[in-house]
Amino acid sequence: MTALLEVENLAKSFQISRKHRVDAVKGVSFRIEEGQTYGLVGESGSGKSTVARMVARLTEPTSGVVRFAGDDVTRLDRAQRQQYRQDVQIVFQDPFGALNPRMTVEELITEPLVVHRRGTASDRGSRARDLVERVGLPVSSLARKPVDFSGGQRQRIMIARALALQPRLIVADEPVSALDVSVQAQVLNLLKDLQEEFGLSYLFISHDLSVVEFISDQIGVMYLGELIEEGAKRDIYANPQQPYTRSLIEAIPTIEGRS
Amino acid sequence: MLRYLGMRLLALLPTVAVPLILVFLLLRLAPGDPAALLLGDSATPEQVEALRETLGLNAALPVQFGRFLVDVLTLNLGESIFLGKPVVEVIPQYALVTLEISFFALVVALVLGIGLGALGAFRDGRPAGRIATALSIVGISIPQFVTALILIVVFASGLHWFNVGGFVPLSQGYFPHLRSIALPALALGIAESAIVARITRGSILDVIREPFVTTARSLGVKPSRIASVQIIRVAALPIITVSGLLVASLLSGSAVVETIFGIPGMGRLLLDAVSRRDYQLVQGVVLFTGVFVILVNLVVDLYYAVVDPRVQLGRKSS
Amino acid sequence: MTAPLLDIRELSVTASTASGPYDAVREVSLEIPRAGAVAMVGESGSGKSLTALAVAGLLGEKLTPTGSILFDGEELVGMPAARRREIAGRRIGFVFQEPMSSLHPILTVGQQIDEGLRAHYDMTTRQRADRVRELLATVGLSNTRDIVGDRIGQLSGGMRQRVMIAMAISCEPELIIADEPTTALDVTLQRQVIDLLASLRERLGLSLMLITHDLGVVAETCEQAVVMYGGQVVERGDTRTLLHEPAHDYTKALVLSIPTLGDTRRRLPTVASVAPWLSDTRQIPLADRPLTEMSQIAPDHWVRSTTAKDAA
Repeated sequence: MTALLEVENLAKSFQISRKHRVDAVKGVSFRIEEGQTYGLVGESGSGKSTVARMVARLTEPTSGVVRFAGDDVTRLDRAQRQQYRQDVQIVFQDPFGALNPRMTVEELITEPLVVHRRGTASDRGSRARDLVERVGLPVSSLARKPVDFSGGQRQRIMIARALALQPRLIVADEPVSALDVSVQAQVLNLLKDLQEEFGLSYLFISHDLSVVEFISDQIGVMYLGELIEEGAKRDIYANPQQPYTRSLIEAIPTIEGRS
Repeated sequence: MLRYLGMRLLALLPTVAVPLILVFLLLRLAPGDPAALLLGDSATPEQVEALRETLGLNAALPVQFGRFLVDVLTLNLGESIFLGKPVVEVIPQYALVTLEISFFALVVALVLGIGLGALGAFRDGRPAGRIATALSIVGISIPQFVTALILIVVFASGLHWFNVGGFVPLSQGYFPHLRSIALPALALGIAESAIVARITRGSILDVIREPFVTTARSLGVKPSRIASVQIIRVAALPIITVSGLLVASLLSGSAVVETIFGIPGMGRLLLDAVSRRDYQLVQGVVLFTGVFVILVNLVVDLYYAVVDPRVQLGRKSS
Repeated sequence: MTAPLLDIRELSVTASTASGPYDAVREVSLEIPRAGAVAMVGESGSGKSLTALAVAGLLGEKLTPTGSILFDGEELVGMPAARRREIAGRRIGFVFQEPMSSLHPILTVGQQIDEGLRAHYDMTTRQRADRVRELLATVGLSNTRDIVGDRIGQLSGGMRQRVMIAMAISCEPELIIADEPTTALDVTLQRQVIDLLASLRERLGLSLMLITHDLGVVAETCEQAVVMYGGQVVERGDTRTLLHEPAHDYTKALVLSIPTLGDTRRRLPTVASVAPWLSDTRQIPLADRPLTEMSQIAPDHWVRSTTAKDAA
């Protein structure tokens, strides 16, 4: 069965100055099956966000291939990118910066529909109502602006917006890292519910191994631009192969405390 | 630091090119024949043609510019038609007077401006702060000549501390000389202090809110020391930047006070030269002022780099 | 039993806002024993940071503390500013959350640590320079290159946090208040900072007030914990007890809603599912309701009661 997303030897280098080149991502390969969540975990500088941006086609890879539903989407022209954007959406970390403060929630959620010219105005209106309820916000939210909402609520707005085009894959770059602990739980639950209801696939990026383990089916560990270990969620925790993965696990403070 | 200096000097070249090109075009863009303009209405066509030859106005434009550059570099700036002397002999004495007044005015502007601005910032919301801020707003609104006239009325005609105008050269005594330039320098300085005050206040208020100020408080550092060491270091940066522009403002504003107070400075020289169409002199003064301001800004840039070494790395300072 | 180093009794912090005064912290009481470590746990808006700032004397102009904060027997609330400054840094040190913005952007590391020393000690320049190097070594920054002359922009995130800690301990305080010192850091750096704080506690006999929302960090570093919600203390006591047998609904929700490694749950409990009365938006928020009593349910375990009418 063809995976929904296949990434092969993806690499990205940045030429900082004549002598200085940064290899942010070096030859990363993985697959995401339909309806599954692939969690990419790593610390800052590991390259995980760069991978997310390349999959979401916000950045061009220096080399390597990205295949979506079997088709090569690495080098797309404008029209093809438009189509790809409808299939793959991205949710960012910062709920405060990612939403235009001058737009109402309804405008924000329907903006992707407007850009891709989907549906009439009344279609869009009812879609906005559906989506806002689906993410657990009252319909009255539609007329308000982001400033009226908390971090967790704004993140839900972002998720509603990402769902507008009925994508098949959502790339979530640290979507809960800036949220309070209890709100984090709500958003994670929401993401899981939506996945079940719509058959979504997720590429979930985070530095928090516990969160990644909770939400993912497959986990990839990144270190200095390379994917050093990969496995099903239970295996990574129960049987870490690489020393880095082990140190990552051991570093996490737990409620049990240290003995 | 040396590398930074080198880069700034390199950046200087295109900047200096601008006044040079403008001055070059000044004469040649004036409507009518430049030579005819120089000679006036009573000139004969032969005289005009002769002057054209002398000035090299018949050559191609790039060639003219080349000769112009050579002239500038060898300080061959022509002769003042009305004063009958080479431009390079005329300018220095006037320039010195203007620079002296501008220097004192700069001191006044910075001391008064930073003082008012700091007061407005550290006593923000309290009476002293509000008065200071109000004063600086008033200061921005009042034109220089009004300030000058007020000063004359109060201190010269009223209190007789100063003369109502007139310039006493240094050769006639130190104190009389200073007395004659005190009011013009004050007038000029007060007018410019308002901008300095506004920028100082805004800058300090921004820095006060920064988290690192709280850290200093947590260490028990006295507020006066936090202000003088930590806050000033960062807040001074915009003020230093503005100083460079301030110098340009002062040099041009000097023309106003020189006219009011009857001071033989470069500003008045320029105004007279313009009204008399003494093109060579105008050209000389504009060139001098332009290059001077550029050099001052270079010094300001270097000083900025000393206060905030991050600039040398080529990254932004914020 | 010796008196606690820090004894907070019914501390309230009132904010004067455009729409009137508002109690951001309500009658908080807690104790920190000498060489003890207490964690202030809560989410944003709980009042934990404001409580810490009140102890350190760093509240902004619009925030007024009332009640009592006894530090080694001395009353901090209403203390004259000059005496406050003597205590700040010398007896109470503060580690801030974001070292990038909490450290001076232009002054060097050496100059910044120097400021604290100058404020409290009469040392020569040479002596201060030696002390700076000593401090950097204590926080583990000496085997890397000499950073005394560096500005913070030239350091990595972990190094910056260590510089922050070095500054906080520079004048040998008895109490260190650390506001989310690990939140902005990667997991491995987090571990280093936690270990560093623990070793410093042991070596220097420091008391620690640790503000965090990370229950794992709490479990590993502090013997006692104070859980805050809506500006008030909802539960406090021995850390193990609190985390394994939480009595207050909010604490329960907090403990249950965090995913842990090896977690087999399909959905995470949230405050809404564990304690619906707390998050029900149709009711008055807890922060605005009158305070109920704190009752002691075990030698080292207090919980704020939730009366019948709250649970309706």
